[in-house]
Amino acid sequence: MTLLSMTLAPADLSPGLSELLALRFDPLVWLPVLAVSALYFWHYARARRTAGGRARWPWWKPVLFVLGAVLLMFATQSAATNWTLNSMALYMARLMVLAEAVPPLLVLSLPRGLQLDPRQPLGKLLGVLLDPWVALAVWTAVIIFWNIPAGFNASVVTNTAAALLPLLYLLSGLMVWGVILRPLPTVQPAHIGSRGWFGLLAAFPMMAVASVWLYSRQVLYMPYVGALCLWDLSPLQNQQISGWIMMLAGLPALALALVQLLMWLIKLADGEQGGTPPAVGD
Amino acid sequence: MSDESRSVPPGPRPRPWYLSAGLALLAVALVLGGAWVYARVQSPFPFYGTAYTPPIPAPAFRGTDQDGRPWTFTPGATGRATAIFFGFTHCPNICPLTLAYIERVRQALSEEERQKLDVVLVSVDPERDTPERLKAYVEYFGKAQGIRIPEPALSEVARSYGAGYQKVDLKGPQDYQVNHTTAIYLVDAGGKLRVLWDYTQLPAVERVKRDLTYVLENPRL
Repeated sequence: MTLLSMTLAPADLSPGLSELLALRFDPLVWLPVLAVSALYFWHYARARRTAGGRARWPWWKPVLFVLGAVLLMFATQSAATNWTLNSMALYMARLMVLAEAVPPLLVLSLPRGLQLDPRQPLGKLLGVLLDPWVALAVWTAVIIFWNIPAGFNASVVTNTAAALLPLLYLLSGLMVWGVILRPLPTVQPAHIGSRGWFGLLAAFPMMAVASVWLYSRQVLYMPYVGALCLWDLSPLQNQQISGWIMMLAGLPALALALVQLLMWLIKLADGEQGGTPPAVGD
Repeated sequence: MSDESRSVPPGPRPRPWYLSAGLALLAVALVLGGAWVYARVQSPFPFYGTAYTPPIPAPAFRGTDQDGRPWTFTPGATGRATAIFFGFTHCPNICPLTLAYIERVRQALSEEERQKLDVVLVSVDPERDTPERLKAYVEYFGKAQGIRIPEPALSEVARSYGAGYQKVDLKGPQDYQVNHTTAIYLVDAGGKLRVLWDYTQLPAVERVKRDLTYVLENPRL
């Protein structure tokens, strides 16, 4: 992982929560989010007209959607982005919100039993993106390529991290959580056992990177070696806190994967086949 | 478990593993290829340092040089590129390393290229960094200019470049350290900020030199 933000150096190196969360307006982020939100609530309002629609789309799903959208905006549009170079921990917290908090909220906010035709282009595309192999490979590539201190291609890593990495964390997080929670059963063949194995494997790269940061005795991430850090923390303390943040952020997905594996084992023990599991979260 | 979930269709048949594996490889290639294309669209030259995309005008500033004379930096006025570093002479490690490495990069350039480059150390410790001390310091490491800017102008200049600094380990009025941003900002001959390197990148002298040569040959006028 490497980045150097082009933002002005903040004068205050002990910002409070209100300073960190002050929002800015970038139309390239706000407008798409507002458009998707409008589309979501338009469909929600239509669905609520029928009893079946209300059952498929209970009131708490829009609440999760709003929560996910709000977290997305704070992770990308708050003043915390100005302190990226002064706190690896703050930066990691933002990335983990995008990868491990926003995606499950957005996936769970989708109505139950979405019937997507697997023969249509959108169904085919989502069928590929939510293939466990594809999601695992993309997720692992994003975690490994941008987090290995040396970087496989320093120029690409350095010059894409600031703008591209948050988006990649969000998209690959959506893919991973899409596989785990299986919101589109008509295009997602994975049964609960394979989703459990998937969750376990998907947690591994992040946990490995988190462990390295947690236990390393030197600062591995170059731009932070001599960084001017927030709240009087040292760069090494920042790295260790980042490791904790990454590890804690990965725990819910890991726990869910273990639950799925246990459910699969129980099904096997009961002599059932794992072909038609219920979607997790129902 | 709701009735809806019980009525969920079983879904399509799983793909053969080799097809899924092929799609996974393709997806990774698309992500990494997309990142490469994005980086090249942002900056056609593959900078080792972090490129300013697009290049932005460098802020002008003024101060006093190591000979005690008034000194003004007007970006683009000299026809030469300028590498600017914010540091201080009591710095125990980062500043000496930075100046030593940037001198190594400078020495790796051709004589003609060296004539097109200025190296400037802006002191973030104007209280202790007298012109005499700055002169001895920059001349020890090679050919650079040491610039002293009094407060509050210094903090404005540093901020305008994205650099920060903070006094720490205060043991007395003259006994302290200064934590500071460790980047070198390269301003091209057209007065535009083109690339910055963190000091930890400087040991890769050849790669830094490659960035520098490109900027010397391709100023944004």
